[in-house]
Amino acid sequence: MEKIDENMVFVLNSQQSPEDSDLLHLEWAVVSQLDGQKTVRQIAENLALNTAEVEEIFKKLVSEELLVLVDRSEDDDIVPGELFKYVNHEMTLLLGPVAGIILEDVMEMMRLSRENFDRRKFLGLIDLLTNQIDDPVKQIEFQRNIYPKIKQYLLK
Amino acid sequence: MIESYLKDLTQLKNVEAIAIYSLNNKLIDSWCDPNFNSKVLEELSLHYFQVFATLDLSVQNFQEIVITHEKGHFYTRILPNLLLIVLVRLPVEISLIRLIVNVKSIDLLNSRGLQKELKRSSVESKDFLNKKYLDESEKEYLKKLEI
Repeated sequence: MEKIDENMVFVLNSQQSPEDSDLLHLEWAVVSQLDGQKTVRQIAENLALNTAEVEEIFKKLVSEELLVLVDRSEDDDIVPGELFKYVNHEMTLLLGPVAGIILEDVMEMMRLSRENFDRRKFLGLIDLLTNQIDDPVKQIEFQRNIYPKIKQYLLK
Repeated sequence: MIESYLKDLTQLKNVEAIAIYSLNNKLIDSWCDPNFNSKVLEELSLHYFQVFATLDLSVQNFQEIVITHEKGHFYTRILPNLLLIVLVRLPVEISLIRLIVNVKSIDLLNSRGLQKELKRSSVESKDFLNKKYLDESEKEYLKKLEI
């Protein structure tokens, strides 16, 4: 691999153990961050690495065949607006008109908007929204109500 | 039971195994991918009961533990009268596992089949955990740690 793009996502190669390689401390730190979801940029941010450092580490790990690139071509898309409307509607039934404000606040906290909301972050949004509901019974009710739509969208 | 009530979990491509235990560590049901060594499940549950018992003793109301390893996650959850263990390979979103467990475990917990199984065990609540899985010396040791 000639170039490591900051939007690439890697997982550990199941055929190779990093323990068999002579990894440096920072390389182990990168390996421990791999979860099949974090991009190279997010890992660099988490570990306070600059572009050159993170690229060098990933290049080494890839060259030693410790990493596998995750193919994100099929699911690399944006959450459709109707799903937000649906979530907002279900939250409003439980929390009243404040639901819309909570939804916007949580998205702002995630630094994402409805127009560019990555589908891989969507379940994180649902987690955060659920935590905004105080009553545990209503939390489950919210998740039960939205689950069929989420299933249809994410597990299609 | 798992295939009826937690079918959505079994259909996720990276889920390798699921097991349900009563709080006295009796296996109620398990499901696993054909390539998965099911013996692993037998060895796991006792360790998790001890971890939850330790947390229980220190009044830390943890209901879920996720341990990440280089190839996946061990997702464990204490439900009323049950321990649920889900083994998953990467990449997978733990939020999705949690959501499915939240939504689907309600019907499982209310099912007649499970109620029948649990009736055979005398376990009533999760307070039982630290009584069964920690002996007096372990409790004393944990108290000294003040965790």
